[in-house]
Amino acid sequence: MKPVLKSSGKIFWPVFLTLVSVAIPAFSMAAEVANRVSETSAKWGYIGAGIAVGASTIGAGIAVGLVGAAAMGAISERPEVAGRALIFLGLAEGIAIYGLIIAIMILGKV
Amino acid sequence: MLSQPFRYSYIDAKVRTIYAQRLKKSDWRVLDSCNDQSCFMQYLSTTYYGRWLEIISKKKEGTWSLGPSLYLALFNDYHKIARALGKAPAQIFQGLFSRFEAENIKILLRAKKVGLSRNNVSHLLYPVERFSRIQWDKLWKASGVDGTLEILLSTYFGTAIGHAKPQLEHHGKLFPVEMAVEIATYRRIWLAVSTLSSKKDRNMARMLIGSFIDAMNVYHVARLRFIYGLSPEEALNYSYPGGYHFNLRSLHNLCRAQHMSDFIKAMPSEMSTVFSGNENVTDLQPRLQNWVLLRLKRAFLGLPFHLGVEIAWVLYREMEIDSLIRLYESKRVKDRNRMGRLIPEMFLQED
Repeated sequence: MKPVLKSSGKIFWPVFLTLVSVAIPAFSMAAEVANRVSETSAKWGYIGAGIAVGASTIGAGIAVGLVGAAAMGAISERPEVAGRALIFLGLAEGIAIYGLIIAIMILGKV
Repeated sequence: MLSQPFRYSYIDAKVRTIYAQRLKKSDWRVLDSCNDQSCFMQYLSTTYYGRWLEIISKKKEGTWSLGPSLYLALFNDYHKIARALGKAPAQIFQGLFSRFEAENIKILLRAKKVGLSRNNVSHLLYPVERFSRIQWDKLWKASGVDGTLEILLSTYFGTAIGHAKPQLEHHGKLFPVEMAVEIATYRRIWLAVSTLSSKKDRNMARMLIGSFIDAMNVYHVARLRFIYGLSPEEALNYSYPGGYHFNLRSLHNLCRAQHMSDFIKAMPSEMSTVFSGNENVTDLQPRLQNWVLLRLKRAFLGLPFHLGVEIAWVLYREMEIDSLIRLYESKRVKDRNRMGRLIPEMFLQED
C-alpha cells in the first residue's frame, strides 16, 4: 500500500491544524444551537478558544519574523523608512488579534 | 515551505532598498549634459555614490580616480550580501568578488616581471584590500614573480597556479598563470552555484551569471577577432569559462566566424536583438550590457525570496559603474552626443 500521508507530509500539518481550528469551534457552537450546553461542549469550547489563540499567535509570530527581518534590512540602508516599516509590522501582528477575537466569541457562548 | 522567505527576507529587503537608490533616467541625462569632468563629479556627489566619492576627494584627479571610489561601493555591497547569507550562497559572491582579485593579481605579476612598484600601477588596481582575504602588502613586498607565486600558492588560487607554474618556468611567459588564475575564479563561481540547495536559486544563479559571461565572451571574441585580428584559437583561449546560452562548441563556432555576418549567424537566437539594425563592434559593449540588464531586471520583478535578487544587483551595479566610467572618460576628451553609444539603453528608459 502506498504511504499516502508520507507523500503529502508538507501539507498534512497545515490542513490538520486548519481542520482542528475550524471544526472544534463549530462543534461547540452547534452544541449551543441545540441548546444543550453540556460540560463536554464547554470543554470543547475552551479547547477551541485555546487553539484559536495559539494558532493565530504562531501565524503572527511567523509573519512578524519575516516582516521584521525585511524591515531591519530596509532600515539599515535607509533609516527614514522605519515609520513605514512599522505599519507592516503592525499588520502582521494583527493576525494574532483575529484569533483572540474568535476566542473571546467562543468563550462568550460557553 | 517557509525556508526561502526566512532565508532571504532580510537581505532581499536590504538589496531592494539599495536598488531603489540606483541612478535614474534623470541622473543619466544630467550626467550626460555635463560639459566637463568637474561638473560630472559634482552631480555624482549628490547621488548614492556621494559618500564613496568623498574618500578620493583629497586625492589627485585623473581619469581613473573615479574608478576606485565607485568600485568601493560595489565591493561594500558584495561584503554586505556575503555576510548576510549562508555559507553556500556567500561563496558565489566571494567567487564573483575574486574576479577583481584575479585582475589585481595579473597586474601585480606583470608589474613584478617588469620591475614596477605598487605606486606605478596603483591607478590600474581595484580597491579590494579592505574586503579581500589575500595579504596584498605581503605580495607586493615579495621578491620577483617567483616570490609572489610562492605566497599565492597558499591562497584559493594556489591549486591553479601550482598547475600553471611548470609552464611559466618552461616558456617564461606569464600567460599560463594569468589564464589559470582566471579559470580558477570562474570554476570557483560555478562550483559554488552547484552546491546551492534550492533548485530555484541554482537556476537563477546559472541564468544570471551565465548570461553575464555570455555577453562578456561575445564582446571579447568580437573585439579580438575583428579589431585586433587574433586567430580563432587565440580568441577562444581568452574567453571566459561557463555561460548560459553558449557551450564550448557554440563558442568555438563564434570564434571561427570570418565576417561579421557569420558572427551574427553563430549567435544564439536569444541574443539576436543585440545586433538588430547595428553590426558595429566599437559600441557593442553597451548593447550587450543592455541585453544582460533586461535579464537582471526580471529577477527583481518576479516572486521575491531567491538568490537571483542579490546576484542581479551586484551585476547591475557593476555595469552601472562601468557605464559611469565610460561616460566620465568621454568628458575628458570632450566627446559630446555619444550617450547612446556609451550607456545601455535600459538606463535611459528606467524611472
